[in-house]
Amino acid sequence: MTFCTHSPLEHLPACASSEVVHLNTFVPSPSNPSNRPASDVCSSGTTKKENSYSFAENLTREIHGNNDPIIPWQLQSILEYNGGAVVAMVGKNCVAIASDLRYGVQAQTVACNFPKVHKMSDRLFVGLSGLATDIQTLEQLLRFRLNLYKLREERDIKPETFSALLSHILYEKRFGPYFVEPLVAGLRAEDNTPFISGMDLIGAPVFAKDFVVAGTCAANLYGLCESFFKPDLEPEQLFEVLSQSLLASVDRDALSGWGAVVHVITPDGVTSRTLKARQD
Amino acid sequence: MHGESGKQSLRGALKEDVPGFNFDNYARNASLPTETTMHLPSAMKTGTTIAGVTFKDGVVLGADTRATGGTEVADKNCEKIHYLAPNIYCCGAGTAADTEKTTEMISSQLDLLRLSTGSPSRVVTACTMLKRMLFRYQGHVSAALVLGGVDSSGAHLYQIYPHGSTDKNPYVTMGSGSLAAMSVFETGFKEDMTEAEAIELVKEAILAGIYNDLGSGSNVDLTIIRRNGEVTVLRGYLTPNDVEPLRTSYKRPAALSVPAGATAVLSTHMDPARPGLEGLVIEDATAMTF
Amino acid sequence: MHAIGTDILDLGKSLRAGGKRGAILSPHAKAEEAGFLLPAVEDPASFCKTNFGVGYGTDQHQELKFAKGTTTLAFKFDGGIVVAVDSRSTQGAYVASGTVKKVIEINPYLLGTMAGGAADCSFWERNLGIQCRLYELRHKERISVAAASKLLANTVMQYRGYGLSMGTMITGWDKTGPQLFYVDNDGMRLKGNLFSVGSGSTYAYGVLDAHYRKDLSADEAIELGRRAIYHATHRDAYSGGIINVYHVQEQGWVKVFSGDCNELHYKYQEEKTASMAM
Repeated sequence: MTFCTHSPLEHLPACASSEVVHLNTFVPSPSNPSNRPASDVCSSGTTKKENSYSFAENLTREIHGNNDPIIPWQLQSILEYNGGAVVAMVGKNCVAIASDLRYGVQAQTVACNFPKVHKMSDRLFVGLSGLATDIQTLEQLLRFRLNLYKLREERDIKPETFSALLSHILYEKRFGPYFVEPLVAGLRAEDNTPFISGMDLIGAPVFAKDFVVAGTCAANLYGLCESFFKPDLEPEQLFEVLSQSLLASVDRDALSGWGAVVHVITPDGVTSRTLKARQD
Repeated sequence: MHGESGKQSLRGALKEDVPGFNFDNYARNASLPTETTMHLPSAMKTGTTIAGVTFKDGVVLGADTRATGGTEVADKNCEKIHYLAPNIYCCGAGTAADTEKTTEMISSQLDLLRLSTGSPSRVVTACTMLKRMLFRYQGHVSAALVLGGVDSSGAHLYQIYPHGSTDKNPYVTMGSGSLAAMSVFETGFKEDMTEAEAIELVKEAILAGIYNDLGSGSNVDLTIIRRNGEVTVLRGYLTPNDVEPLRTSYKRPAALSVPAGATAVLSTHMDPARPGLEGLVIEDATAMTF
Repeated sequence: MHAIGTDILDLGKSLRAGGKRGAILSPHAKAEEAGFLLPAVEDPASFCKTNFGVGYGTDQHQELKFAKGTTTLAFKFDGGIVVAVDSRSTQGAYVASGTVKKVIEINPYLLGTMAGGAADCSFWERNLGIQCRLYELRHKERISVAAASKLLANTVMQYRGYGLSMGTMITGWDKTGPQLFYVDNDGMRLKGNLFSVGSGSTYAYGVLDAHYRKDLSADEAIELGRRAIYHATHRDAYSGGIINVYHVQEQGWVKVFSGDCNELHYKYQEEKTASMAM
């Protein structure tokens, strides 16, 4: 399958005041050996009847020499439709989780106030990257399930249990998944030890002892975290390390960034900071 | 399948114990541009070398510890030898979530079966339950398993393919590194080995996978199940690729230590802990931002 | 293989329609036969387009992904022409660079801009520079902007359908005054007063159309170009980095601004807050 050489956006340069200086002489192309000018094809009624494309579309098709659907923009994966980055990192008796703030639709940045990390209970956060509609659905579903848990058990959920719950919610939809890659970060109530886990979109858990990453710049985040991470960081150091890893990663990714929010969970409480980030 | 003809009812949402997979999102996902213009997101796989041998006094199971997502190493130390019953363990290769959840489900069913029959689980029972489940899903649940254990009839070792076919052999391998591991078994396997010999052989087989197969890597995990019912789980039996010593001996460049105050902060909010209040407060739903 | 020698001068014109298409040039080919080596397949044009496509969205299925450039604009006004560009280069979602020079200084009187394939644009505009210099030597006078842009259009026409990706503006000041042309890989060539090209062009047009007047002062025009590019870098994922602004005058072009779009963001934000407080 071949695609058009340009996105339609690039076919917009002609402004009202411009005049066509030179009409291109038509040369034979593989798709049109007959040497008919493109405009002839479009105005001949038969072609028009065969398909329901507009004049401009037919012209474009003729120029590009194929009848494949013209797809303006092609993505690698639906997980890259909205863009976003999430990362969680372990410290000494503390844990931090952060996300960028962009909500985009492919190339277009629609909003810069879309955090992907959600507070689930006092010392438990979940980060959701992927398709924004599923992020919202899943966040609401998790909150609902968590409230049921609290009503039934009259206690806070353990991070491990929450991670297993999330994993099961995702695996239940094994053959029609939510397009979401979640991270879980929490502080255990018993001994203030940190817990982090990551998952793929059908709930295969990864229990790491240092950091977990997800989103459109996961590869960048892996690189930065592998370089910057040190074991047993204090909350303030952890904040700096995590923030710099995230900011550097999103600056090399076109689909995430436009602000960031970082939560550091300690036995004394949760410190949430919004970061000054690049706006391009 | 539940959620009456694709409708997600509140009743459906409230029912947490509806069995089986949920296809609510299936039609939605099919209507996404996914199929025509995009690749489906790839789930995490365990490239994997898993293997097992029987020896004089039981079985030895072995596995590497690498999980991959595409070309990325998603987990450098994942656990691939799953517990099924006190006397039965199972190595899993294929889609990580499938091996994890399949073994989890069969494990809980075996548990219930033990409670109702009052007798220890048999390996062949586990094998039959696994193959029935995998056959039912026609290979869509992609779990390739090495099942080993002991029971009243002796030590047993099975391999189970994603479509539900099974083999019973004295030595078996599975996963992308199965050829490398099998070459070691074919050269080194003997009937009635001692435990030490069996451990050495499985270790070598897994190492062959770790070093020669790109989908496998990191550490060797071993589990030994003996006829007398004793089980030894050796998580991280061998860690030939541990970078920790190298890391600690390496002096980091100054640029890699982030100084305090390096990050420009626009706003800070501190939510102090609420000692004694945990568990009593039901969180309100947050208002949607848009 | 040839080392690139003088035959590079002929690249623009040696591929005659119906001439050497589909043939692999032998290593001993004469200089006048020089051109790009084409793949030894039945239909080299469609092969190139399928496997070496450069445009947005056309190379996602390819093993080979190309660096692309993104928001560029140029407009005429009473004081000459303002050319403004961003500097982000992306390969898929990966930001390959944030400091690309997307205004190509063809000679002291001619500027070209770069959108689409970075390699295609820089190579062919360099080639255009050579052709323009040869014209000067042969004719003892500077080439007109119309002629220069036509040289580029002729060049891309030779490779039409082979998957080149270029959306460029050629600007300069010649005997007839300030001139602005748009040339793209389809062979399209337009004369105009205001163009914007690239994935962020819609955003830039929004700002330009709202504030453009013919009688802008030079400072106002420069600020308009800068602001239009800034808004594009903010909204468009594939635009960003350094913003460069050029002013084309009778004596030739002058680079009038080069700065980080992020600093502009916070500057504009401050100005907005200040004006709202008043």
